[in-house]
Amino acid sequence: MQTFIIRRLIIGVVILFFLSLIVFTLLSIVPGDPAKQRCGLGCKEEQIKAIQHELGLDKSRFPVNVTPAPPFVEFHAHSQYGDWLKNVVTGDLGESTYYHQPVTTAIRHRLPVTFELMVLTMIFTIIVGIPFGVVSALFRNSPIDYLVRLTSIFGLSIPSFWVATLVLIIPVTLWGYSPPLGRVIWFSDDPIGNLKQFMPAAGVLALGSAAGIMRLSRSSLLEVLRQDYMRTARAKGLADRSVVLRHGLKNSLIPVVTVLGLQMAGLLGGTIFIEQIFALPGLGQYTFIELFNKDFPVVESMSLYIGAVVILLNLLVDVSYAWFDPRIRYS
Amino acid sequence: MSNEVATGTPSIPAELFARPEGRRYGEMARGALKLASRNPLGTFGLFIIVAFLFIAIFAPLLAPYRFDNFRAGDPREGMSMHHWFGTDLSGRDTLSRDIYGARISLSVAFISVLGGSALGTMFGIISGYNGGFTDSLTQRIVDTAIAFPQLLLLLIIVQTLGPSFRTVVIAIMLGIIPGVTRVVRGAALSEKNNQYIEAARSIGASTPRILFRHILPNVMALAIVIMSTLLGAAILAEAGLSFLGLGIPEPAASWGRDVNAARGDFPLKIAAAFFPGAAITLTVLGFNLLGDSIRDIADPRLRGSR
Repeated sequence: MQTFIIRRLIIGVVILFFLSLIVFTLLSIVPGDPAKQRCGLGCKEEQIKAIQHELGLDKSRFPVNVTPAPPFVEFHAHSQYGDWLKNVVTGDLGESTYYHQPVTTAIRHRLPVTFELMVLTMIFTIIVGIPFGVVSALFRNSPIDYLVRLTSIFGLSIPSFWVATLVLIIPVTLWGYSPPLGRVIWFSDDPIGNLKQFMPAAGVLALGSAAGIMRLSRSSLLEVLRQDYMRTARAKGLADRSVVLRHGLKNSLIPVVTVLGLQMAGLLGGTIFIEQIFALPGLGQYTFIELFNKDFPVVESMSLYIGAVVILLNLLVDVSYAWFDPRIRYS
Repeated sequence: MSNEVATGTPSIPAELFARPEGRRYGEMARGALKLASRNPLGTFGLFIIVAFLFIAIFAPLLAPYRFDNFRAGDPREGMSMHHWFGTDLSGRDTLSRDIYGARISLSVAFISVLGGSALGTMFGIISGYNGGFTDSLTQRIVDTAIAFPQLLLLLIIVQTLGPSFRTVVIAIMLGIIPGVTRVVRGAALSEKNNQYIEAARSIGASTPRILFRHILPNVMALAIVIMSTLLGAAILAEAGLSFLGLGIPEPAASWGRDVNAARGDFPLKIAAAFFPGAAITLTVLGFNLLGDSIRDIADPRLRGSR
């Protein structure tokens, strides 16, 4: 188990390195000069130069450059990518030129918002998705099964930003009600106000993932119910309920847990819409604004951060398999 | 001599050719009907898609106004006989924009999914068949792409290249490639150990020949199934990008952007946000229903999964 975790962590670091290289290459071909954007209109050439120097834009992009003319390969002691990497390794994720604030501070302020959103979404997904999927599998081809299947395929087809938009504008136009927007209400200050603010957003975000989990837990339980060990359990005289709950459900949850883990990655993207629409100052909104403002070192750091979170989540999922299925051993 | 040969070759009556041909078309039609009656939901999905394709192709004839006609009506009109769904903040007819929106949505989805699956399939069979360094490099890149929220990747690509039709297609295509590569690679890995591959190699077939004449046809069915499930996702991706203002720029009519425009326009009108979103949902629903059916038919073992 330990060697498995260590090996996965090493692979994870390699993946993150690749990721940072890909994102940096992508961002380095972006048109437009962030220095000019920051300086504004009527800016003098020397001012732009000074800002470029301050932001490190006058440095070479990569530590190693291939040139068409001799000397063909150039090495730079100081380059944008090299310095960024050096800082990241020491725990410095850079500073936002838009907010005038270190990225680590922004993450510290905004992580709780995104974290609460994700936790609520996961709770919704699990308490809606798994029970309906299980009921649907147990009463296969009954009206309730068809209803669940139709609902879930519908849930997978609806764009979350549309539902979010309707959830906000329908109550406002019809009854003049709007959830508290703008300032974050922390759970510790006002639990009810906080939930009023976060529940609609999490509900919308959970729509797609709950639909996916519904379908998956249905098909996975159907698969398990067909297995020989289920027949054995019944044959030795166990009650139906304990056959389904103890033998069936637990085994059928393995793929469900995998997909829940994978969905977390998708949700981190989905929060961009939801945080934007519900005006929740979380990490998704932050990354989007910084991308829009062409604050690329920040986008780079956030990509790395989000990639790291996803990799750790996937590792956690794989480790949790061993608990669900004792046959799985990592060696 | 030549006469003998001519008479010796039995001439085949034309109707013998015609009849089996005719029967085959009849059988095909009957088979299709049977398939349709067994998969009512898939048929419904196909019906939705055909309807939207019809709307997209004949948009200029169906729409009462052009999508970019600023003088269609007064700004912010409500629903009326002249403007069924009202007008937007610059006086353009909402119904016409919704009709024209089908063009962008469907063309982006088809082009990007076709291109993405083709490239993904190619990378997949090369990676699976060659193995070794090529395979591990490809798989690490796929790992990297999968360990990252897809939407954020799309946003970075579009922001990098500047929003345009081509950029949106490229971004969605790049988002599709890793997943297809991974699935096709798995299929190619198991295909590679079959005897007919060994036979092909032993008579001296070149690697490209084995890849494209022997492995490709055998993973094709799988690739088509994946494609059918990706179309809905591609439409959602395009709508999402334009909702965030990074889709195909104005004045093109895009469903996602119209939902966003309705959100920021006061006084708020439910209809302006409802109809473009409903169009997205219906189209994606059509593709998802059809994709499910295609997968069930291709592989009954997967019935109802995902």
